[in-house]
Amino acid sequence: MNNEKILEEFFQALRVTLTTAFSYSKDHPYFIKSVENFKLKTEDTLLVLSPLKVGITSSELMVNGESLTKGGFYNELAHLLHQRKIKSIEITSGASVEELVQFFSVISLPQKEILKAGGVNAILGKDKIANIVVDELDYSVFLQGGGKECTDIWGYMLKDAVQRNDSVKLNEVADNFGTFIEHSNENDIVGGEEVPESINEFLTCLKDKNKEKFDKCSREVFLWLLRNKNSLDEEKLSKLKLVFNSLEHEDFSTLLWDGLIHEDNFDAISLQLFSKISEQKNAPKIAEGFFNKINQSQNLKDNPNVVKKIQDLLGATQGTQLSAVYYNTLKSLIKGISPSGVMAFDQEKLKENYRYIVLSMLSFNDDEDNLKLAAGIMELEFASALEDNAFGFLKDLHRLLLERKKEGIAACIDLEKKFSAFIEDIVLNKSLAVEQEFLIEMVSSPAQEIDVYLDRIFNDPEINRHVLILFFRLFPENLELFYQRLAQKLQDMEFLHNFVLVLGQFDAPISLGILEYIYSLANELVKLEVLKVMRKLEKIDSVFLVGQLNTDSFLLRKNLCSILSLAAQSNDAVLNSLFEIRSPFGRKNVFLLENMQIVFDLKFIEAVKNLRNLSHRRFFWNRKLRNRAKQILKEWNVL
Amino acid sequence: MFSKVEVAFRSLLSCLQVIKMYGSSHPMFQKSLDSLALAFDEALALHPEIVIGIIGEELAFEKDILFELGKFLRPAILYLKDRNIERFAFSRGLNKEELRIFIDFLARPKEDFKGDSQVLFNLAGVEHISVGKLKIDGETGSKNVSKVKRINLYDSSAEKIGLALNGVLNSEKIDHLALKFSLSNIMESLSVQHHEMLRLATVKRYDVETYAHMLNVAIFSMYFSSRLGFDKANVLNIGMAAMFHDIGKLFISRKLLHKSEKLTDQEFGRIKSHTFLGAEMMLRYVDTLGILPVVISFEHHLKYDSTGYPRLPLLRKQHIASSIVAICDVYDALSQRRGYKQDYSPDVVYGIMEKDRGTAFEPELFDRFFRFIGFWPIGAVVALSDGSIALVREQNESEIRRPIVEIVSPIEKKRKVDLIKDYSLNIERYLNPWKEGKEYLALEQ
Repeated sequence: MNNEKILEEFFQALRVTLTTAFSYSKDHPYFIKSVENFKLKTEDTLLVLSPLKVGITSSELMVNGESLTKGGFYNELAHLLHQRKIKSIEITSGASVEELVQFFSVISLPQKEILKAGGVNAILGKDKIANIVVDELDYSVFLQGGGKECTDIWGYMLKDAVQRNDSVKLNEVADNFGTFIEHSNENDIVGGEEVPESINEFLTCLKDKNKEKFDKCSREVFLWLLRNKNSLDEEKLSKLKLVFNSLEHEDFSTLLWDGLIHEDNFDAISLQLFSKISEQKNAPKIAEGFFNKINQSQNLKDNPNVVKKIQDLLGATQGTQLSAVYYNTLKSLIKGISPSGVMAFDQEKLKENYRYIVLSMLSFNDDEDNLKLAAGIMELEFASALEDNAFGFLKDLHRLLLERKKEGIAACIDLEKKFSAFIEDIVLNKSLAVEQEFLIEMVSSPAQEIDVYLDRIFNDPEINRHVLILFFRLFPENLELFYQRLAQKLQDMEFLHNFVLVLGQFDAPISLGILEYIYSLANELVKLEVLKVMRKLEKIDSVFLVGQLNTDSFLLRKNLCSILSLAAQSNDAVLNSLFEIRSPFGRKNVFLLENMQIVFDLKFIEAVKNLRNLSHRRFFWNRKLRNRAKQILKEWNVL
Repeated sequence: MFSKVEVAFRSLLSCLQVIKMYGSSHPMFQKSLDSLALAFDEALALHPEIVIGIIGEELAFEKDILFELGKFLRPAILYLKDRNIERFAFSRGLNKEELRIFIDFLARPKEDFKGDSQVLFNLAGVEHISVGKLKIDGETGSKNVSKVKRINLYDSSAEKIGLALNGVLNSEKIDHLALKFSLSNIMESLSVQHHEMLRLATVKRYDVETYAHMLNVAIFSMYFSSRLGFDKANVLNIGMAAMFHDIGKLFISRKLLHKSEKLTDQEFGRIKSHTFLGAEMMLRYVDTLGILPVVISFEHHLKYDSTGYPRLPLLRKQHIASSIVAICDVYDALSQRRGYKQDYSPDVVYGIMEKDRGTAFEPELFDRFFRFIGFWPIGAVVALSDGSIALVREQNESEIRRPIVEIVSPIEKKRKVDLIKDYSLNIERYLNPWKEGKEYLALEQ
């Protein structure tokens, strides 16, 4: 059998023995049998591993410095032993059945009982067991260090402090209460019934013994609740209500103020939570206490952050289910304090002023070193200015850099290049919002190769309009490369479709040329998309469009005419293309009939003359043509 | 970038807890040490050196006090302070073994922390970590700081400011953590016993201390901004920035005042440009002191209605922090005895400043300043209408001219009087502490 297997069997025996110890009395044969089996497994293990020392953490068992992994089995065992404050167990050869019985009887005691008795060793101490050494965790060290690992047992520590009724212990736990709760998640607190109950008992006890610490701990638990508000459902919240059982209405008044002061994000949900945890108490009384407290001791006008929070809160809660009592109280508190009347430290304004100061330094300085310094600082501001949407500043910066560039100031020439490269990088690798598009104009020269652009345009899953605009701005001389890449994509319908749509989003002369290029080479569907886009452009190329009218496609002709109808100067050319067609023996009559339909649909009244000509065509094979022309002229009342 | 340092420091404290709990041979510690080494690798990739200071009960890194982080790690911070550790510096090249020795060392009982920790480290081959105390007098902002200690705090802070200002004037690196420590202590003192600190600022200006004005402006600015409800970090930053508000003037005067020839027009122009110059100097310290010193140096003469200087086309309206420092600067300068003028009494100071209410000073801010500081400042010696002499003890914000005073002479009348409750008494005049008020000032000490 290999060592791993031996070890696995050892721990299985340990688990089985523990289970029987939980279920049977110390002298029950089942228990004795499992201990005997455990003894055998221990002896086997000691042959390959001596000393046999098992390290325990909250979730792991470790032997010989290595964590044991076998799904939940070891984790569960580790958790069970950790909860009994056991840090490690060492078993040496010679451990007797009696010793093992004693050992298992102790560690299978309820956790609470072990903690109450002062730990496993304190109980074992009475009966000597030489061959089993248990090293225990010292939770007082935890208390000093505020370790997060004790979150799993701190419910018991609270209970213990209460049961001992020892002021020193209570104070010690109260001092560390904030750290405990800070490290706890909602499962640690409301995962079971026990912890809320322990906190409630602890607060109740503290209230009598030390009101100051009671206030502190109540505040800490309330602030924890506020910070976890988004993960607390109704069920958890109802468990938490118990925690606040010992609070009177004046305590709740204080709590509300604490929440407003200490919690940056004290919003409508926070206030709703507060209403819920305090619903057993008289809300008008709490609100009144809160109001008086602030009016007497706090000049709210001198607490701009709180005023702002209240203003935001009221703004957000209009029309919601918020308790009218609190709503009205908060409203009366800030009555007469206008947002502008509140003195606030405006971080945004500070940044703005700072940037303009550095800008002034770039503008009014002649010393090269100082200019370099200011330029270096300014470079660091590019990203944050953009992030803050400081568009006015970015425009001023750009303007100034161009001016100083003209003056030949080296630091500004260099900075302008960096600024251009910064914007280029945003366009190529991040994204610009619509309101940031003006920045594209500030890229003066490419810092990246043309291939980077072409790859972005033709290889990206989505076509970025800004990359396209910037490309046309920066590489007007290199369009042949662009067309080469475009030609390779002409079979990619999806790409073409999207590409045409993107081209339609900016009205640059160059886009018209590309659209025409695509039109000439694409299929009917894409052509129709191109025409849709062309219709929206400010300028049309009527010569190109008229040239396309000889197509067999009715739809294309109709769409072409529709666009051309926007340019009156091309009417004659359009009508000639549509109707000045020779049709010997009516061979082209279907085509002419379609064209008649087009001018009729488009109300192309300029076609009257052409229609009259058609209505007079002789020969029987032209009958349909004549009739349709007359019909349209009649509809238009020009017959 | 900043969060990497936070993560590293959190990992350090978590590793310290693990070693205390499991011991250094436990695999859990090894695991925790691995994460710690990784966290420092990442943080040091961004900074060649990470210096973390413990200021009061907070952590400081570069220009920021990590109030949020400090809140979570307070017990651990106290543990370190208990072992006289207030400053850590980690530099590139740091390895896991050095971290292991360091953590092992920190986990020792308090009693083992004797002698020079740095020497111990060096002996153990730790080259990339240094620890120690911040180089200040060890004052803390504890609530029971005695009056004498507060005076020492004031004096040592003035000295610290002197060093820092000289550092900036010589373009040298400054010990910003020590400076923050001093100011943080003052801030704590202001929150606990603001009367005492304000009194010091009132009285101490009569000592001919070169840097007392800078410190006073910092104290008044911190007090004022905290009363306006600004959060701790902003209050501290305003205090720091206030200390450097006139750095440009110091630089110019140091250069020009030693010149024996007549100053040229250009040199006069330079003196006026001290705001611009000061901002430029503070720009070199943005990494450690933040941007506020730049802004305040630049804007403190700009005035509320933007009619001051520098008058440049690109400027914005004065930031509230600059407005605060501007008020405190003028207030302290007018109150101070200078070579070229007598010191003015508080009523004269108020009268002079009130003329600029609405032009140089934002009216609401101006009113609040005097509501908080008082018309008659705390510690002022005043003659009452019944001929008795009193010291101003507390302000009445609802009536700034009628504070709470303590009659100190004649001795048989010694008592506290709240002048808004007792209208039979008025303050008649102010007694100059350098002249007729001198003997009564002694009663204050």
